[in-house]
Amino acid sequence: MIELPISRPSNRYLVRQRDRRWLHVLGGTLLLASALVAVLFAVGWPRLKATSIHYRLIRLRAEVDHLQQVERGLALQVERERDPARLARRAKALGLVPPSPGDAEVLASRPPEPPE
Amino acid sequence: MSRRRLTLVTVVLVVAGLGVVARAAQVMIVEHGRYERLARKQQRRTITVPSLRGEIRTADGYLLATSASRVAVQVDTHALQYPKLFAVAAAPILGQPASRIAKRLENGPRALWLAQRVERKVGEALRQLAPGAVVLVPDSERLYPLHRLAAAVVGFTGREELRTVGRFGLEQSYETLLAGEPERYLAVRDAEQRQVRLRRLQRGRPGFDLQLTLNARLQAACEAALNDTVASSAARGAAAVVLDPATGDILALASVPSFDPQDPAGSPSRDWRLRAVQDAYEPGSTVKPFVAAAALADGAVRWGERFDCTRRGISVAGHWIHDHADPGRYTLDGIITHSSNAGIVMIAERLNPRQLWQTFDAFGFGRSPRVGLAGEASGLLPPPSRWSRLSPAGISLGQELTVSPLQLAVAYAAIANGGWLLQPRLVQRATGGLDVSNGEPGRRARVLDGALAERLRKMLEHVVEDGTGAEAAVAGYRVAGKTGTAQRATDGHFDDEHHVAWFAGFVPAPHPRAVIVVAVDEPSHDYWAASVAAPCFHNIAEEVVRLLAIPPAAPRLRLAGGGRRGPEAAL
Repeated sequence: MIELPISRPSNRYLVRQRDRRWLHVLGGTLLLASALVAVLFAVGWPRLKATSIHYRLIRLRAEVDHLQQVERGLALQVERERDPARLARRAKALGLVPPSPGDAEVLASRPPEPPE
Repeated sequence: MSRRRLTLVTVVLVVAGLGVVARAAQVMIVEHGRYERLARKQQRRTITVPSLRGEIRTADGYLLATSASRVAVQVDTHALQYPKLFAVAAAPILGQPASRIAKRLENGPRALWLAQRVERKVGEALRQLAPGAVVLVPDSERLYPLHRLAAAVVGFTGREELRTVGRFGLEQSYETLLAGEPERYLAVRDAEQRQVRLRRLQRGRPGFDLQLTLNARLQAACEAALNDTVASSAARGAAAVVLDPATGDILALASVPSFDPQDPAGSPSRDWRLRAVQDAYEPGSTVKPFVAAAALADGAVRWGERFDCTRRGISVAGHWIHDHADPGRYTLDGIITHSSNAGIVMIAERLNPRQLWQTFDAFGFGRSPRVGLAGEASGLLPPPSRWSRLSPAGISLGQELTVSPLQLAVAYAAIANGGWLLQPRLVQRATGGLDVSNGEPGRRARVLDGALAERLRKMLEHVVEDGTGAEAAVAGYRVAGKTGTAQRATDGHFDDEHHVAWFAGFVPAPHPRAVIVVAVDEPSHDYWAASVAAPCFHNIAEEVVRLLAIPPAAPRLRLAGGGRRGPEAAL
């Protein structure tokens, strides 16, 4: 039996071709994009951090100001509390009396022991 | 016709155009400067923000004056949309009636200072009410944490707009140092007076801090002792000075009645005075040691010579001068110990008036002590050319001259330290190492021979041990000093109603650590120094030995028969 050639759809004439240029373009684009992202990151990240730090600094400065105010207020309160006239009045109210000069005892410094 | 009209219109237009050009040239070229000034005035404004004023501390670190940051609240009354509503909301924040705030907003200027020296949170609360109309400006408040302590020394401040200005005491005298440099800003505004730019023109500098030589605890003790004395003797006032005779440092400078520097208007202005420095009184018998010094230096009195003081007085130039000392024949030491008027007048009459004057002048009487306060009293020491026949007696009795308590303290310090007249010092230093001395601190001039100073020291010790100053004695310590009861000159003459009671001395002998002078002005009940000023001196001296940790001295031996050994025989 003779097989007659039957014409059927075939792709044997289509040759697979690789577009090497496309790959280059793609690679180049990706590289460029990566570089751009890297540059943006390198430039932007510190700026972002700087901005963040700046805001933090503003907050901290305000906090320092506030704490300084508190500290000054407390220092002032301490000064008021240790007013000698006020303490004398309180001591008097508590019945405390200063020692009279005769109550003082002078401790004479002891001369060093002679070496044996 | 139309051509003529055209020509006319052209001419009119050209003339008008020339007019416009001429006016433009006038405005832009001729009057350029004037309009520029007007524009600057309208658009630019220099804002001055005062710096924080310096602190004032005592030598032992107590804070006498300081400044706290506050804000001033300014309201733009034109920008405020609902003033009455704002007033109602602001009233509880400011603690003022709403009607009063509304009235101020209605009648006040465009830029109204609604509140000054308020805390920032109060200012912020007010700004929340009308953010577009309320502006907060940095401000400060002067605070005196120790209230009345050393108030007359420190003084107080006043306000000029937002600037705090020293008005009295050290606050006034050291204004330049304490105030610092204000910060200046240039504010540029647009036509609607909105601020569009703010540029700092000058960086500010806070004021320098001052450290005084005062000892706060000693100062408080002095003020308490003076208050007790004024209350018990119903005196008009009193002053005390405690001075270090080795350095001239003023350890206490008290004046009562005093005032609250936070509210000086609450006390009469006479209480603002620092009596110890700014007032001069007749020193009375406290000057007798200086007459003795002049007599001993001149050799006018022989060793062991006795003066007849048995007549309870002496007649000088037709005037009878009373003597309150017990009648007797006194040596020079006895005259000082018992404060005999007749005896000291006899000695003064032996001296050349010029020599007597020179002695007083050498001890600094009649000259300002220059401690750096405004209105320091120089006292009065008339030159011999203006003396009457009574003057040598008047001067030797401390009646024809006046001295401030500080001057007397400096003079007694010269006896205490072996003859050196010192430059007293009140301000120790300022921050930044600035020189704040008003003269060379420390030794200034030798006015007494060392041996003569020692002789005077012994005389003054006898005053406390056996004489009029017995009430000044401090148990366990050797105290030296002299009483002085002076009549005050009122309306050109002395009377028996106005007195000053003095006690000037030092502790402990023979190596004094503190010179103390007490002056009680016009005591009412009892005016004698021995019973008014000497007990006050005693109270202060007790505090001095306690606070300066001065060890007690061994008492001098008292021999049988009332004799006395010299200090060389002290135990």
